[in-house]
Amino acid sequence: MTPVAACRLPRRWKGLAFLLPVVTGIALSILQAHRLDECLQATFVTLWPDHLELDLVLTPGMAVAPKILPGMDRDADGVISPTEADDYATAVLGSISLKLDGTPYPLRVTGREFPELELIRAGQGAIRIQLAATFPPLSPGGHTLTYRNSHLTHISVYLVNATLPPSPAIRITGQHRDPEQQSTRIEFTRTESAPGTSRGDGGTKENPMEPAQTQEPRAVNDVDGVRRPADSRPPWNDR
Amino acid sequence: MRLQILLIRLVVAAASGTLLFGAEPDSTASAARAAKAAQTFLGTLDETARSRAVFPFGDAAQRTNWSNLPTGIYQRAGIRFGALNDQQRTAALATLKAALSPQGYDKVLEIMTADQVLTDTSGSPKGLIFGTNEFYISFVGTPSPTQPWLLQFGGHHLALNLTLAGTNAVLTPSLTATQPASYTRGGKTYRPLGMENDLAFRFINSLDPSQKAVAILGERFHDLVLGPGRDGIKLAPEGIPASRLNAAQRALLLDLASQWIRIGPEPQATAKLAEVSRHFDETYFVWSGPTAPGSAAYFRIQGPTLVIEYAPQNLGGSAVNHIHTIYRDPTNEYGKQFATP
Repeated sequence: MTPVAACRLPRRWKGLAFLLPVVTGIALSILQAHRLDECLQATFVTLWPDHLELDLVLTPGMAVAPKILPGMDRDADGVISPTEADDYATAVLGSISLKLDGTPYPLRVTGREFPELELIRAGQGAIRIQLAATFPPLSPGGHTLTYRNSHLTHISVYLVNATLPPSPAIRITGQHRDPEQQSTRIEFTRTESAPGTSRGDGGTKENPMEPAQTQEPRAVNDVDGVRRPADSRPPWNDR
Repeated sequence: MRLQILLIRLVVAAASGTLLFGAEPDSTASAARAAKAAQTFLGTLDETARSRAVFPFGDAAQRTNWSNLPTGIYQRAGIRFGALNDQQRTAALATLKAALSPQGYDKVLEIMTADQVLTDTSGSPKGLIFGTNEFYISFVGTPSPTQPWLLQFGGHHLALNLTLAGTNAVLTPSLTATQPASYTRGGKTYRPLGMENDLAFRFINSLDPSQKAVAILGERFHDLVLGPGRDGIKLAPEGIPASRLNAAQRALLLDLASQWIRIGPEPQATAKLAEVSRHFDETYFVWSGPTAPGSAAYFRIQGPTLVIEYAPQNLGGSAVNHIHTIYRDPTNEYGKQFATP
């Protein structure tokens, strides 16, 4: 077991001037280690039978926030107004390209959340921009979605992932990303059994990631404030 | 396949000596032990400190107030370890010891010590504060053997969220990480996430070429997908399903997952492993990066009630010396199946 006494260890290397270059190097590495000089852009793609949703989360590091903030707080009054937030979200939208089966579909902004400016400046503010595109109901069979994010390419690292489709009519069969994850090609199928609407469609094929309904119940506690699990199973994709 | 799952369950049962499904008889004792230790710790605090340590169970903001980042970039609430006297610190550690498994408690101490090693060798550059004094303990809800409450403990590279609700204990979401990945104290080398790393490489290299072709998505590792702030997201499965593994590979994969699950207390951790086993055919493993042991590679284990990610960090020195991991259950984050805020 690790000695708990380590909690109070003295800084025994303090004052060892000859170690300064090493210590400085490590210190710089720690600063770099917290993604201070990059903007992490994580995109989650949710597919439905007749539309899709993109949830784009931008987290600028502390060192790059000053480069990004002027594009958000354009009047530099220390507040990102609703208009400024809308404009920035629209600008991001312009950096996203999307094609379904080779056909481009226009995206629209459906939501945006901007944290306080100070949080962004401190490198802990996550900006969330939600986009959506509508397309004609998919025909049964295989389909391909291509996505590319070209926002802030010079300072960004990217992640892109498909979420578990909420509709049992959609099944992801492959995700092919470029090494930087700036773009992806998502292959998926639309099953024949499910009706074509996105809300309440009733495909019968179980999603492979959904717990079987026949599973044995978890431990149950009857005390006040503790719910029985059978009554509390959360819906999928309830984020 | 069902026979294989049954065999795994029997092996786990034999090793643990407990029942596999649901809470075991001694889960009541384990809940009471954790609650008593927490109450004892709170009893060492004055009223002001106690009010800073305990939040209402319905406090959603505090519930999700955790991060891997150090103070200076991220400010936690609760009681800072460095503000505690010896008696209080001992009581706080006793709370962790009572609430976690022995191996989970050791892992926490090793992560904390690694962080102290980091601060000893780097100081606190540009206002970043970390090290063992910079860990925070807090409670969402009042510790109780019967009523739901959440024990939060975290600092740089650690965020434990253990919801205790009667006999149930849920450790998701929790983040374990370390930098450095290895350090020496008293002539002994510690690797806080060493088993996770070693078992993962053993597992990926146990796959035959056709299995690897399915499991490995790319040559480059990447960051956590479901890190802090990504509660409740369910990703489309990728990689190789456990249904395509042989018995030895399945056992190895389950052993790998258990490195996170068994941070939590018994017997609930064993029950969680049994739950994961029940869904094992729908559990996937995906790898991104080289497969030579010691390489920097990302992996994810993902099932209906489980997500585990392991991500080297390519920022600040060697990526293999700086690891972030996350353990989630998208159906039961913060024990929401058992406890209504």
